[in-house]
Amino acid sequence: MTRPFPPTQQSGFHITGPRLLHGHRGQISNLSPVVMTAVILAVLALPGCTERNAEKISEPISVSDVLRGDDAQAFVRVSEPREFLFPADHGRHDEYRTEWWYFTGNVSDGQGHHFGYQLTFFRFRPRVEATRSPSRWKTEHFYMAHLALTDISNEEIHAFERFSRGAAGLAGAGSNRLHVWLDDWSAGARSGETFPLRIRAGEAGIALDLTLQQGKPAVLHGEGGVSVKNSEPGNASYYYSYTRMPTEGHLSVGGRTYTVRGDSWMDREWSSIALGKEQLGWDWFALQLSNDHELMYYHFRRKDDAVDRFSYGAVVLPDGRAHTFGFDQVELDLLDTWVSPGSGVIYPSAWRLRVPEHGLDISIRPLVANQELDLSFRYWEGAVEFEGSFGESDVDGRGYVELTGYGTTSSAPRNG
Amino acid sequence: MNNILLRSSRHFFLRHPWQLGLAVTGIALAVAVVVSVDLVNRSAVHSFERSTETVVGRATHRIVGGPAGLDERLYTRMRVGHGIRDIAPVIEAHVTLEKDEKRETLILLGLDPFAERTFRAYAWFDNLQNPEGEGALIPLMTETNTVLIDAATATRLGLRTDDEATLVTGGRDIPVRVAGIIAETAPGSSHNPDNLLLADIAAAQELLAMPGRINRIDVVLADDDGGTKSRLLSLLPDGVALLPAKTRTNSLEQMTGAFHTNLTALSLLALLVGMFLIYNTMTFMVMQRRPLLGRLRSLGATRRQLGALVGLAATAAGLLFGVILAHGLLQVVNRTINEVYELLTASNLTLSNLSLLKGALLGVAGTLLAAVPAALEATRVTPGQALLRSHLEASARRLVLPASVAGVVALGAGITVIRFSSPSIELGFSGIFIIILGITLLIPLVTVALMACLKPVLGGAFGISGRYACQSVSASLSRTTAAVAALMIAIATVIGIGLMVNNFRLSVDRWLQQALRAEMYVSLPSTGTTASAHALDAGFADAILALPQVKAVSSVRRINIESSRGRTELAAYGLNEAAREGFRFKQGAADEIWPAFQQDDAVIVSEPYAWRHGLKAGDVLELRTDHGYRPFRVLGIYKDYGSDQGVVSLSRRTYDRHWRDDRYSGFGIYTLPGTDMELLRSQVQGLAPQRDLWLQDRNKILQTSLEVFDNTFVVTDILRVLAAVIAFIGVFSALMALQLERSQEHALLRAMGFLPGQVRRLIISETGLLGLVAGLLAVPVGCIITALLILVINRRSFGWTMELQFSADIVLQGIVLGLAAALLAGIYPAWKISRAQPAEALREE
Repeated sequence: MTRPFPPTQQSGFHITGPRLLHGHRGQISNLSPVVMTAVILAVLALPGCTERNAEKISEPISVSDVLRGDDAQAFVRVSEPREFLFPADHGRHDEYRTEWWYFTGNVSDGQGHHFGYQLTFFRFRPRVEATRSPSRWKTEHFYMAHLALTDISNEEIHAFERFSRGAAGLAGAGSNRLHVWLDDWSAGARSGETFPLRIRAGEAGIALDLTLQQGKPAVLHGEGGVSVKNSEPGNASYYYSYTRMPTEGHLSVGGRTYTVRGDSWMDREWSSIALGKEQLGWDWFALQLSNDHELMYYHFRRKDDAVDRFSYGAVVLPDGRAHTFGFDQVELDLLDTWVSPGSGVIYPSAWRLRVPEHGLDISIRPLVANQELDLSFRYWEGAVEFEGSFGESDVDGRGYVELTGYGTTSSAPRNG
Repeated sequence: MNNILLRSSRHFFLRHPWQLGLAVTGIALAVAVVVSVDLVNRSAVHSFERSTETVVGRATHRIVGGPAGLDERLYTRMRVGHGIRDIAPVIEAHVTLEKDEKRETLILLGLDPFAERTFRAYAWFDNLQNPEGEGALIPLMTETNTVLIDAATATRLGLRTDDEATLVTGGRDIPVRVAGIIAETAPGSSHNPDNLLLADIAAAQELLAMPGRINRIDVVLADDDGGTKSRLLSLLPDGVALLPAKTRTNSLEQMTGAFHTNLTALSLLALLVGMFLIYNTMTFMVMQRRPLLGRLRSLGATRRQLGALVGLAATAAGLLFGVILAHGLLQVVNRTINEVYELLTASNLTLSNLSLLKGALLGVAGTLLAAVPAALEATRVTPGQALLRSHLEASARRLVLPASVAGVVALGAGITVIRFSSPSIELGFSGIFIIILGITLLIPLVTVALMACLKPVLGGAFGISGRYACQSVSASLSRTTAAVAALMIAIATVIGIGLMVNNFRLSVDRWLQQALRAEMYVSLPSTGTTASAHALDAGFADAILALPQVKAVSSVRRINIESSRGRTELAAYGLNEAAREGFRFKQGAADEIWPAFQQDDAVIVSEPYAWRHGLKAGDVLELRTDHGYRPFRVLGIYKDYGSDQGVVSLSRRTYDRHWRDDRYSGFGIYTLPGTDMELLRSQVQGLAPQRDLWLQDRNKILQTSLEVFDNTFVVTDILRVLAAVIAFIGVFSALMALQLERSQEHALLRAMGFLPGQVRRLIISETGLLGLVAGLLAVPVGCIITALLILVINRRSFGWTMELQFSADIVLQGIVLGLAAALLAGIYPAWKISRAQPAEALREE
């Protein structure tokens, strides 16, 4: 059942992918942080789903209902490969409905203090028509940002969210370079250069100020950066990642500031897509292996308890080339679950992941069990560690996992 | 025992239903007036709280700029550049919303829903998409001219989601669409918003034509957060200040406090009249039942029970009527507050339990209190005495002298209270009440004296009927006194308030004649206190001046700014020689003031401003200019009835030195003789075709101003009339009782040979005499009330001085009213007696 995948072609900053073949199995992909589309849509547009108490969104069904919104039809759709131009494509793509800049990473101070972090900026455009206005506050674009810091030594997670209009200088993104901000949270390079990239955010005594180097070249997911999400034509996104970005900088937590180093991961994605009716939630893995490989894998969980065939994975080699694989080339076994004391939601908490074709066999577990983000939209996103074998040799490493759509009756954790 | 008493009491009232009816009506009216005024006052206070919570939210501070508001980039700099998060940009203006002939003035709030979490929960974006919010966020923020409206206002205007309405602001009509209704119970709010139009800040900038500007930045600062405060302060450019949010609430209270105190005092006056009436009814009841009392000595307690019963019934009716009346009064009071104070007020009555309880207590307690003398009297008499009315009257006459002494003492006390209580309005009213009480205590003496004087006169005119009438009025002092007192207070109130309003109107009229020097005035329709968004520019003035028939143009710029004395209305005048004639100085000499006014950092202040802040010529006032607080010398104090909060005026030249603002609120147009005003009007309007200018000639302003003035006093008039009605009922009931009680006596007179006509004359003369006494007494008392209202109450409430003139026709009206009430009250008994068969009436003997 295994089948070789062509490596991503690249040339300098200009990356062009091959033409997408619709419905071709194995090329189907979706977005790791698709959840965030759902979050923004849910928070911004879904009636009745954002009450502030325990009744938080715990119904991804409604979220996917929103993602299925008719409005999406009016936006520009992702239907064919594009020529990625950097740094211009690091900037915003206003004609698409949603877009995000997604940073995660594992860092430590070299003295036994380990941290995981997540800083994400989302752009969402609820309306396709633009209105002209003399007011600088008028906009069709809304921004949301999440900041989460896991203090692994103290087994604590600190999570914050922000919202803003993408106008009046309050939030926004560069049109042709990597610069995105919401209030005083920001990610961007000093000038025209993309790297080194500085990300800064803080709230309530938590702060991070990190500088990220490029590390490996960008990996285009799916077919040349077109990541298909379900069988309907045009339901796809443009999707690329920087999978290993050497990172250093400062973290503040618990009244102390730490000088830290580590590796970060950036996901960039934009689209106007909607989820399929049957897609309930997803589990996403972004793993940085000790042998300078990275593994990305996600799968959708369906309402009928099956794993969606529109699931996708990629192994990134030390030189930046990527081998992609489909859901039937992966074996993911659930080893344990964890019950959130706050929400009562049951999440998966340990896995065995095997990709026989690449000889990969690893066991993954969270560095801290409780990395549930209790924000307007509740999900689990946290730092993980793993160990196992890759071909003939032992391998271990750290990474990030995202788990969404849990907490509904029909969505108990199960083996994939 | 109680059972027997209750039955006998019931029996009594069944035999005298009109007596019960009048007693209940009178008390009910009195209670109603008190309750309704209290309800209206509370509704207004509640509405202020509500509008404050709606508008200010949980802000502790606000950052404000000069007349042009703030540059919006300041907000971005604070939030993005410096990470200050507990801030929110605000645009606020009064606008008019029209829908199918219905129109309401509303507060337009332009907010950023993403910044509202800590400030105004109802506007927090998350709450704008609850099912109640109908997912309004996206249309509100991304479509053009969309607004949210509060549920109460939407109901009043008949607006629903997706309906169109017309927003009127700055002389422009703008179609807006209702994107949703703000939930009836907005999350995190103890009050429902009212009079609120919520727009995204972008839409507000468009609607108010103020791109780039915001009115203020709201701030939440924790008490211990000195760090954020100093950071904020360090970011403020010149002319921008961080102020506590409380000042706004305080100034609202200060503004209308005096107005509400005045209403309350009027309602208490009505209660006072009501209490006299209750006293009267009770005395009458005791009187009627004296034979029974004689047999049942222990009736005192039951009497009180009976009194309590009457009181309860009347109070219940009074509360009900009070609530109904309050609904009506509220509209009137609101109109006044809207017109005079440019504030939005309660459009719905807040039924306060406290108000109702207070009314109930007043009703029952007032009834009992007024019944006490009668009850005491009833229990004190011996069985033998009880059968003799003369005993009662004898004891009443013995009290004439002590009462008069007490009256004089009360007069002295009242004057003393007034003299030494400045500036308290409440104590001023207390003093007036004490003085009225003192005069009331003098009534028996005056009555006896007057009767003694009138007896020969009337005897001469009407023979025995006249003499008999005089005699019997002084003979039945126990009841006539209360009747006269009630009538006198009512007439005095009618005269007093009537004269005061008349004088006030006269003063305002004269002042307007004086102040309005230009032939025509042009401005933009008022959008309330936040009019700064809409203003005219100097080019417009030049264009007017270029019109052939225009001789000169004066200008005014009105802004609200902070001074060392609080929020202050500032008027910057560009005056010509003629316009200067419009100012009349109470302090300072015009020929010294004007040169300095033009050159120096100096101001003139209006009389109310000087009164409120204790300023006199030569004092220094600090104003917040665009360069921070600067001292300005007070050159003089001028007469001005335009604002009871007072105005600080300076020259346009001075204004330009200290404020960066090149706009104008209005212009006065001075024309050459023989100018066609209609032509001029259309020419001026033609200079600004896209705007609906407020363009009025002098006479029209005079007329409109006096209309507003009259509207302001509608509520006063209503209360005045109510007091008179209560008194009329009281007097009617008392006099009728007095006469009916004496039907046997009259029958005896008939039997002795009096003709029916003579008895009729006797009765009418008696009541007429009482009316005359009341009327005569009411004239000086009314004048005293006028003087006190003008010299004490108006001064203390608003700081205005005004002319004091007594117009004969109002005085005459009072006397005629008293006489008419009294004569009318005599007609029914007179008619009845003259028809009764003497034998029938005497049979009981």
